[in-house]
Amino acid sequence: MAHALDLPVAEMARRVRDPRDPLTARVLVDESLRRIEALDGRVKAFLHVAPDLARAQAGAVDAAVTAGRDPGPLAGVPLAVKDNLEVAGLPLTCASRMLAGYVAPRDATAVARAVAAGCCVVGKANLDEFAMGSSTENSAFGPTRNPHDLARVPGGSSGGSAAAVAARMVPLALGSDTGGSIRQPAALTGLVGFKPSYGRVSRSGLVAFASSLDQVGPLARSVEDAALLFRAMRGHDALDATTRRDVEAACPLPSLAGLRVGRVAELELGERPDAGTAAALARARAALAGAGAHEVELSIPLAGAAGLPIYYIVAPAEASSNLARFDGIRYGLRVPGEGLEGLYAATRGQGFGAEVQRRILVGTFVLSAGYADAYYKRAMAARQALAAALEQAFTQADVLLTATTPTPAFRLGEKASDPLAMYLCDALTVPANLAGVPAISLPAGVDAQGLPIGLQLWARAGADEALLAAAAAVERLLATPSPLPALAREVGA
Amino acid sequence: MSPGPTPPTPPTPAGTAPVAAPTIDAALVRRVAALARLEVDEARLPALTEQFRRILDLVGAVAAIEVPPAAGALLPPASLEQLRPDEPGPTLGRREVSRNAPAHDGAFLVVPRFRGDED
Repeated sequence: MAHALDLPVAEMARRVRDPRDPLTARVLVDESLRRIEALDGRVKAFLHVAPDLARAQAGAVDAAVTAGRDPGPLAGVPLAVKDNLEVAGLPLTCASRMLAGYVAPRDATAVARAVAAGCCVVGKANLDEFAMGSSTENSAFGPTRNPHDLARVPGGSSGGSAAAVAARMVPLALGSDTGGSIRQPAALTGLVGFKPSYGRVSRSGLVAFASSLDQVGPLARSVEDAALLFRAMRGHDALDATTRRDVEAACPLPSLAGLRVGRVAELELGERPDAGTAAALARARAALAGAGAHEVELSIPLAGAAGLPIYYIVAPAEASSNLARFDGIRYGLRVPGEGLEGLYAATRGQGFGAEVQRRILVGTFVLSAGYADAYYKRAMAARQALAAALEQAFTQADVLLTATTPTPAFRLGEKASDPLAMYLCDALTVPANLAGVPAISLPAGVDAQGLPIGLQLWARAGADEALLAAAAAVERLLATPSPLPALAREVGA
Repeated sequence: MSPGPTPPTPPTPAGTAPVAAPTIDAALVRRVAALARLEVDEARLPALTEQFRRILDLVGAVAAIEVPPAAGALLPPASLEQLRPDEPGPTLGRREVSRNAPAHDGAFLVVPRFRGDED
């Protein structure tokens, strides 16, 4: 019989809230910690495990139940938090030597709201350094491995969060998505990963990578689970001036009959697609057609080959500015150098890893005098045009459907020495960030090697609930739930 | 905006024809690294220069993008232009700040001397 940790999150929390039910938050947290202890030596999803904090939070939930108070819709649900989000009293490293030893003085708003809804934080999850990467191999503390095949990457940058959920160590995790960093690892590990509209979830307490693109979101085993965490976190926050004030009501599960599903020519898989990914996409389209959905053919040239160049100008430009604060004076690492400039350069040269340095260099270059007009300003103009083109597309289609990634999970080291090959992993995800629209990756089965494949739905900016409802309907239609890795069976999942 | 490395071609306004691709060599990477306050290991410089060249080849494709004349800087929707009142509020205490600093004396952050002994 499956452990309660493997129940749908709503059911898990409902049972914890029921004082007559023997299931408690403490039971869930202890089981989560047991699984982490059993599996994480191989998966390496966590940079820091926090049993004391998790048990204290579980105790508070259980005490609330005993006292007759409502502990929230996520009562007792263990949560992994990507280690670029602050959790008060826990290390915050961003998987960088630069922040080794840093302890967060406060909770990120997203974390505080998840905990207020009843979540119990069991640890901080590995990531690509400062969220820059697509494999979690850029972590200064070593890579995370894909629970479905330990020789392969879990995607990135939220690879630790994805691996922790995929291996059934936790039912929910928080990630951040700047160019696909929630959706891509969700696809590669067989999960649901949701990037909300820009501004829907507060970025306060998220260490900034590219502030106009970053968005916090959930990774989960189902759309319903992801939606519960999203709803607990969303909403205006005085600490983040970019959070939206509009409030969306939950949408009923839509009928797929008549749903207009956009097929964007420039977001197709190309002439020599990965067979498993192409087959999964074709199956989904056939199923949708069978359910009465209308396929709408669209062309959005800026969402295709232009997306990556725009992204790899805008994101590094913002990163080079945001990461200027790490100079050896105020945070973490300090490496002595000749004079103040020497100290800055030595600290940053030794504190940042290779990929972060590359992006800082590119960002500095595209913002520098003589080049800013040709690169940065032109990219921003193209970004504006892309956002307008997508807005227009959503007058013709309710959602867009694409593959999430061009291929399933690749082998560790396969792309590590070729930054451009790694960047191509983001080709199908970055346009949603550039336009600020919500996007969600859903499990769509496995390929001949048993590797998970993900499909992606986008909706217009602000239509998060409509997207979640459509995704839940598609999830039910496809009937390809999050696959269980063999490794997770070892712990009884 | 920081002063950039000496451009090999004249600057070009946004929306017009692209600048000619800059010459990417180790000297350019060194100059950009200096702007970015990054110490770069000389042994890594050849590989880094090649990677930098390839990345600029990729992003240089923006030059070929046809941008509508009306497209300007991306502006947030009105719903995002909400500033909170400019009022003092709680902030981190001295202890929380100094705990995460590389060096402090209990009361202040310790920073390197940078103006010379006469100060």
